[in-house]
Amino acid sequence: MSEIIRFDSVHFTYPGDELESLCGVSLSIEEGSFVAVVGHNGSGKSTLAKHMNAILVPDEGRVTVCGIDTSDQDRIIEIRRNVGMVFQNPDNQIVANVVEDDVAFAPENLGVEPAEIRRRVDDSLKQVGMYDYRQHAPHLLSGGQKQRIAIAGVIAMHPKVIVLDEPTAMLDPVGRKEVLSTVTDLCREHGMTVVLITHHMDECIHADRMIIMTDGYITADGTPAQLFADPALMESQGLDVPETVRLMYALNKEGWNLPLDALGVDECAEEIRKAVEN
Amino acid sequence: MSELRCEKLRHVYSAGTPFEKVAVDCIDLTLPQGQLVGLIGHTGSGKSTLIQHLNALLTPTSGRVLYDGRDINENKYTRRDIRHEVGLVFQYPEYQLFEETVYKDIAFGPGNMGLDKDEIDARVKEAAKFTGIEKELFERSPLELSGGQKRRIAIAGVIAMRPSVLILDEPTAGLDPAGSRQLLENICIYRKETGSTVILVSHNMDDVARIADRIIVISGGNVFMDGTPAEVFADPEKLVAQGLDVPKATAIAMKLRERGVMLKGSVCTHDQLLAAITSYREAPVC
Repeated sequence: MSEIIRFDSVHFTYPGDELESLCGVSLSIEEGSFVAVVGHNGSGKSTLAKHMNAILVPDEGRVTVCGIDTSDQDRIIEIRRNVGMVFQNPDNQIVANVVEDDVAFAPENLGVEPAEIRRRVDDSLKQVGMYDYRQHAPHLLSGGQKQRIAIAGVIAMHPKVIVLDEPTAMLDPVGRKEVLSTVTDLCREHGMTVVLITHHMDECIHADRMIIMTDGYITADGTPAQLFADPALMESQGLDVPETVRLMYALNKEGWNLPLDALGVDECAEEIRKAVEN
Repeated sequence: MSELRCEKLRHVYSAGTPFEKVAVDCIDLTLPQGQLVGLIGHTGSGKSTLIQHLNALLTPTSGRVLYDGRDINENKYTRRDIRHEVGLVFQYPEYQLFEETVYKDIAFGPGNMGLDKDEIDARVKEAAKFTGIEKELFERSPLELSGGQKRRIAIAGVIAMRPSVLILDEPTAGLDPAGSRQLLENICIYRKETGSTVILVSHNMDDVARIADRIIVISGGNVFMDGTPAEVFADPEKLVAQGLDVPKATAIAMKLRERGVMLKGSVCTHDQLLAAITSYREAPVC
């Protein structure tokens, strides 16, 4: 697989701040992978995300997206066409009065042909499971539905990468599940590169890779199973581990011998069943 | 002892128009002083409408809300007084902050109550301590702080009025796990030290199961379930059928039972699950 996003020793400080928000971050993200980024509030996760589509550019160091240097002002449109962003609050991202108009907004701005726009809008709405709502008014939809409309608006641009900054923070459990399965599907079924920033550890379970940020540094980088298997590490970063891992870890302390990589609820229950039956 | 009570509370939005919507159908509820109540329900269940009735931000279509036996909507004075007694922290703290400095923002509520300067100062400091706001932030503008800090300031502004009922709508949304744990711990300490009633509206079933004395499930504008966490989560299928989540520990217990590992009792926390599995292994039930 090829590299799609690359950070080389990126430093960034917000104007007026004394402390650096990114302190020399280097990172390479493979095309088609699902990467989760976690860390405490103020750790630099959102700053990292905003460097991925040139909302912010490094003070020092370099970010390349699809081979383009993000500090190249002339190619900024090209970068944003390749990397779509979805933010926490869907209400801040929806612009139109009708769902399908909202989804058409970005491709219209990109100068896409009308017939092609129609096709993209329909395809995007189908991909997020909101096609039946195309004539609805967005403000009457639930949070999870609105967030899926925002995602459809981004994928209608046909980006290679979708970056989501805490997309589920304001949603109820049903909305969270809807958004998460939509995102997972974009990666697994449609080959899109997904970068998911989240505080919910159980949303990281399905990622290929998990990155922990602390005070502007990347402090851990591995598969979710590898990182969760080390509760001391997670604790030191102020993070939780999913209940499945916590449980298996606690049982192992009492002499059980369960694999700590059974992260899903089903897998975990299956391992425990096997263990009690032996 | 103060007590908050809803009697046949009903709220209809846009009554008489094509957009008419019954948000709260008919709710009878008694909230005795000092309880920590978890209020759960999916989006649109009516729980936000319900909490806005508890400090007279909305007026009932029919039915009454009583505080210490008195109708809070009796006149404009009772409506004003109830807002000093019942403090409401909304989900989006940025909507609630508006002053030039953090200090002034926290002092706004007590200032409105007509307290003198020293008393206000003492309350601001006390509220800041409860919510973990450093003194160094007092002169900063609340609008330039992070989401987590804004959340703490909004809560401090309400706590500074020393309400006897504190209602928090999703106080931990968007906070990191450590920040979220800390905030809930502080809320528990606040409850213990002041004897206040705390109503926690949350989608996080693990938090609710861990800290609440009582859980009220709202569905379709009515009370769907009401009991201790153990009682409410004893029937997880019923909640799942309502589109609600259950605590992670309960979900794992359900999956184990599906596989024939018949754990005993109601499981809704990590410790209960651990104990249930350990005792099952020692004495399996077939």
